[in-house]
Amino acid sequence: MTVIAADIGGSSTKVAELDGRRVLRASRLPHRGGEADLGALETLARSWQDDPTPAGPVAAAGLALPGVVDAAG
Amino acid sequence: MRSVHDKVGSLVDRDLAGEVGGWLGVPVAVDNDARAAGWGEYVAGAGQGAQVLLTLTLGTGVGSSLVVGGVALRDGPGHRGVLGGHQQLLPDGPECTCGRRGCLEALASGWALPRVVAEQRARHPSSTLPADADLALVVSAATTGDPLGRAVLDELVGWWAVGIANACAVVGPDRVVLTGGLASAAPHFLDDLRRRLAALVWEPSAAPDLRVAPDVWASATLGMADQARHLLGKD
Repeated sequence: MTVIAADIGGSSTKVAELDGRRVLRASRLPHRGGEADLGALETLARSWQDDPTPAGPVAAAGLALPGVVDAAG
Repeated sequence: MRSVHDKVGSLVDRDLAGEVGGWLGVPVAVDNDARAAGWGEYVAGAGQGAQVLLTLTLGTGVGSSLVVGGVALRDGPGHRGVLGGHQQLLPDGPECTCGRRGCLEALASGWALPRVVAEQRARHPSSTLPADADLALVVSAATTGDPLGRAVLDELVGWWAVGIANACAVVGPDRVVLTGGLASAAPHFLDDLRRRLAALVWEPSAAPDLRVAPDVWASATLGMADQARHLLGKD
């Protein structure tokens, strides 16, 4: 079981797939703006799901963004 | 998901956990990037073992977060720790992205860097440092004796010291962790920042243990990976 974590930042989107705290693969996508960043993340995440690591399929994900003050909305 | 500003443009006021969960077919956690970075450092990085951990993300903007007794402060009025970059240090200073003036982020962040370089160039006109220099170039110039590079780095470090000292006066962290892209240059300014911080805190002997994330690009992803595992009931 693995998880995908992404950090959409002001200069790039950092994406990693982890098994526990071990990084299995990682990528940095150039910043292109909110909607485009999300689209690029979707493309990458889907490609990773289509090509799973030996650690197994993605079971959950986490997304970090700037400016977000809570996740309740 | 809510946002106080427009930093993420069209992503504000959307159910991102639902949308991303829809593509991936898995549960998704969403959080503020500075809080995610602080949590990542607490569980797997330079913040491990801290009782009160203040994390400062020095990147395009400046963010902050607090982990107190193993709990990441979140939500609620004041947004509990994530607005450290918007502490107002110069009320008549440069305009910030939040609409106010003189926030720490407006004085010492990646997006503020071109203004700092331009203003310092008036005092050091002979420098060849380009107007669009990033912090790596500034540090490179400073370490080779360029007075503009040195002045720019001094100004940034000075504001970061004030911002951290102010936060220390309120929350008294035993550990402060720096992360984010600008923190990648920390080996060139960390000793100076520690000296300035020791001079600014109320009691120098109680100055926090100031550290840098082992991988400044990975703090938030480590934090979000941990949050994702929690969605599955895994620690």
